Amino acid sequence: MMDWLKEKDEFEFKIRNESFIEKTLSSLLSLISKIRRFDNKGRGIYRIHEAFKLYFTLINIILLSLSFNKFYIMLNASYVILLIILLEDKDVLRILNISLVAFVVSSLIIGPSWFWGNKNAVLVIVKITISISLTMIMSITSNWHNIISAFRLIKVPNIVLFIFNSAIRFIYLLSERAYAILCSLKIRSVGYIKKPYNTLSQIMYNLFVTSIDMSFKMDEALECRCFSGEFKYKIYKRIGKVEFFYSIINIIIILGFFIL
Amino acid sequence: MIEIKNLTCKLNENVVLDDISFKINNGESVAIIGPNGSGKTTLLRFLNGLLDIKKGEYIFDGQRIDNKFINDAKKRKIFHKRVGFVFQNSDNQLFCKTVFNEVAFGLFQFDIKYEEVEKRVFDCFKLLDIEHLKERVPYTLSGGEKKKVAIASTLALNPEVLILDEPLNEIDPKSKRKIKELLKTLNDYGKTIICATHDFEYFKGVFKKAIVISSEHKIIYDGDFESLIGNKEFLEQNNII
Repeated sequence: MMDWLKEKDEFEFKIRNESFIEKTLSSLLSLISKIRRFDNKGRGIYRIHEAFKLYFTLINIILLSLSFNKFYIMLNASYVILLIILLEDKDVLRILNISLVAFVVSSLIIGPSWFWGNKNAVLVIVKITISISLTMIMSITSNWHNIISAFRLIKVPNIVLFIFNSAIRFIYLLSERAYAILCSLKIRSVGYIKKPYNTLSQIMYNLFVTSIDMSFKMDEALECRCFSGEFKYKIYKRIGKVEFFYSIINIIIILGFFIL
Repeated sequence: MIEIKNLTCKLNENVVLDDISFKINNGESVAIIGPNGSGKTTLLRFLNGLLDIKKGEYIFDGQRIDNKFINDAKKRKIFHKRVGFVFQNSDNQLFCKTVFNEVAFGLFQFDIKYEEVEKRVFDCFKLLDIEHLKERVPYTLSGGEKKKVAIASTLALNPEVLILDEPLNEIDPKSKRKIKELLKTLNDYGKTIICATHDFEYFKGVFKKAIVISSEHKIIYDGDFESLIGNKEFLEQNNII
């Protein structure tokens, strides 16, 4: 046994602010948890088939942009409030944060024109806030993979959808790897890294090589499962009562555009 | 059924497999054993037709598996239907957006009725106790769950030969027992099982034959599995236990 292994070390550590690693770690964790949220089946609005959410949200935003009817805009605002009530607490906070930012920014940009006679300025600000809230609600309550699959209804080729799905998968797997490397860096550096930003390039190099290797392996995996060049898969999700009620509410709002 | 003759493989001038020859008969269960870096995974990739054979010969069910064969899309597809492969790292194998799609992917490549696909997929779920995962995203599962999904996705195609690369990695004891029993049952059904593993003691009673590859990338044992695990001296000498 080496002598130095038998003795206790008495090094003095230079303790430095680790904010760079901490911030990178927390942003990676937040990205991983956002993607992990796909598996949160939940209830109510979270269970609604993504194709319904995507297309009704798109129609609502288009009709909202075309309308300057106060009652129709109010109807949409009430709909947003109804959806927010159905969300989980942490999601309500996220939606309100983003909606508030959208409201403040659009007020700063469009608001001053009201003083020069733009009577619709307030309506435009409200419309922007509602549209952003609707988009965020769809994004937060949906599985991104299923949103991508919903584009099949408008004949987007399966290969394009597969590429998008793979991109999300790679982001998740590489983020997990980057997180693990950064954690190891944090532990081994014992609180002191001479040039923290330089480590990023090394981590990126590692991720780049890993991603190439993963893409080759995925090609082999496709090969092993008799892939013949055409992607065929189905969304395993039944359409039930929740989708029915969601459609009825949305059809009422769409009719509101023509009636009000 | 499977015959490898004088297979030699070099990657970047490093010898990975050195003059390997063996035979595996239909319905046999074979353990491929060897220390890290001995070339087990490379050998399995050759058996799956994923690597070009530059030196040597691979014969599967009387058919020579060479470049010409692999470049024929139809033949290749039938070959992969007959030979299933479970990768060592499940992250590389799972690429669909739900576990259901993952297991059904291979079946969707053939003209099989959806009802039949669904039935087979749910049978595989039951075999591996993963029905509760059907709507989950595969890459967010735990290591053991990923491995079970990878095995199910390979089994769904009902391959005649099942090749597994370290199937017990990251798996808890209960699931290990389940996989052991599954391999035994599949072998009883007449499937040929080829498995690279370090946990060979765990597989007592599953394998009939063992092939040992040395750290010099040569076959140093090709014979009865039970006699091999009884020969502690040989295993220790060759860095296996």
